[in-house]
Amino acid sequence: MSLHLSLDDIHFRYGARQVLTGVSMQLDRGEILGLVGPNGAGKSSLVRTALGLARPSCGRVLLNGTDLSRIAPRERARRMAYVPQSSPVSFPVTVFETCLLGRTPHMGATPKPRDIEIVEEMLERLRLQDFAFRSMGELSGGERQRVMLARALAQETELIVLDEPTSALDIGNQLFTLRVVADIARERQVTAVIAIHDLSLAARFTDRLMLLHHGKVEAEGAWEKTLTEATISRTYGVQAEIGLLRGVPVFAPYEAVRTGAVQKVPSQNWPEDNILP
Amino acid sequence: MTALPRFPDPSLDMALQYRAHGRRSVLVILASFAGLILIAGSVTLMGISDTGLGTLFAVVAEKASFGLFIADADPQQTRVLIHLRLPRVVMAIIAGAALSLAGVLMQAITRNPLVSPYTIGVSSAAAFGASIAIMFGVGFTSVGIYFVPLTAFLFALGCASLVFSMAWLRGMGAQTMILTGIALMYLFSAMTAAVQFVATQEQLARVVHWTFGSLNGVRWDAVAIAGGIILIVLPLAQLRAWQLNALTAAGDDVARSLGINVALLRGQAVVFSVIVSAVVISFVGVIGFVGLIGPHVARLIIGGDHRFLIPFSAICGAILLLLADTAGRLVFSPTVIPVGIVVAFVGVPLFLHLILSRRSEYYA
Repeated sequence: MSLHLSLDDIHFRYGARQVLTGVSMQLDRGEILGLVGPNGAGKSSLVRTALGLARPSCGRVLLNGTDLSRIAPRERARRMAYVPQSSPVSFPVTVFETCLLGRTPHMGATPKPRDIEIVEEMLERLRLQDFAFRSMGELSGGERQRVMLARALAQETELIVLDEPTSALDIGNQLFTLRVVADIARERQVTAVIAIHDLSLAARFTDRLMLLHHGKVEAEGAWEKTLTEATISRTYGVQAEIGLLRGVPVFAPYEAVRTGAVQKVPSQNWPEDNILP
Repeated sequence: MTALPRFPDPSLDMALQYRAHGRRSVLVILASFAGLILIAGSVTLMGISDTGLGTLFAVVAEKASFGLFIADADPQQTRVLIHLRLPRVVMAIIAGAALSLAGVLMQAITRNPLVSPYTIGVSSAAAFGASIAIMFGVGFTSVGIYFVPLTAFLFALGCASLVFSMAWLRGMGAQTMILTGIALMYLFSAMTAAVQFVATQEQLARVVHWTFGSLNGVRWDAVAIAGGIILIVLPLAQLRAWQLNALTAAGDDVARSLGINVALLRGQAVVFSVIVSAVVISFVGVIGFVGLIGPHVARLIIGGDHRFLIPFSAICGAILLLLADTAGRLVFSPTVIPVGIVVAFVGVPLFLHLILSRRSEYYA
């Protein structure tokens, strides 16, 4: 295993607010890292920094040992793909056309047969072939989210970064979608970073977890070590029962902890601190 | 009849369907372009003074062959065609295409269907420029007939540069651009109103007439300038069609993750849009609506792929404006209604019809 993506001592500031403080992350080729933590912990900022979409105020991101800022945008796009949390639709565009956009860094003015082939393959893998020529506006939020994943997979990158890829999916599609990501990661030695809220899914489908809290790494490693009753109580402010059902990790939050529940939730839209009662 | 099994495998259908869609789009564009030429030819023959198809062919052939072919046509008819009808028809095509092209670019980079080339204030800035030129420049015969259009153009560019630099300072975001543009639009409208307030009756009439947008008295030099600019800008916009697809369908962050320099793309599209719309406004006044509706009509017919949408929007805008101007010339003939007014009467029913008859997917 060789070191693939490395973030060294990342500090990130959003306006006056310090979002990330000294976060470091190392990923080997083909490894899947789950990024967990409460709202506003800095997951999305870390994801955007890892992709080079946001520039850290301090620290650096290395891809195969090369500073990300030294890699040309098109070359970077051939090596890392991004699945955003949501993507609003403003104009009519079909699922097939959307997915084909993933080929942008590989093609000239128009798609070649090979580009179309890969899009077909990915749409089939994500069971979207029946929607291929529907407009994105006609799809449900979950279907749209799968299209965005298909688009990123069609990009054929060695690294893929997903920000809440299952937030709009039903439980069946959550399992199905993460299974596809995990399979592709294994088949093609693709490294993946998945920011995800569902702790059970996070524990089940990733090789390693990183728990963020207030922009710092709270815990890191195997899920059993990262997500303990103590760390969950400290970061999420809930008491949770952790168990295994048929070998699958299950997290059952049963009560909010008074002290932990009162936390500052920094919001991107409202700079004032939003204190929960 | 029983359905045949899908053979060799269903995935083939997707590629075939996608290619078929592409071919269909190209056909639609070619057919509509042929339609545009046909409409242009026929409306050139319509008007108060009768002109025949033979004369039109003779005149066009003579001009196109640079005088090698000498037309033996009626001089009266020839004069009407060369100095009145043809420049007017060609300018209607150019103006409609330019405004619609500017509209499709602006809507793409702001990802906003309500945006038109005028959203960033170019029209009201041009109107203000034209107003003060009409007010204070009437005596300057030395500057000649270009004084009003030139002033209008410079004000439009000035306003656009202001919006552009504000947006640039804020990272070239779409919202900043729209909000700054709308604010400046109100400012320039207020300044135009202030100028009109102190204008004489005669000046006021000219200013108001200018803001209607009219193709009356279009000259060949204006046609050449506006036409030349759109012939340069259209292919430059076309080259960026795929990038615009990525920006409209996936948003800023994903477009950047696909290797696209979003700020640069947005900047280029604004420059293209501003130049073509400003040059048209400067010569023919503020013709609204085409820049907003042309792209929508095109999108409803051909879909959201900018490789097809950009040229088709230009054709749709050209047809729309040409039909509107012809209606304005003929319906209350000999009175000519300014095209800026007629275009809304022609365009709104067409647009409403398209919205109502299309499936609900258009606006999610």
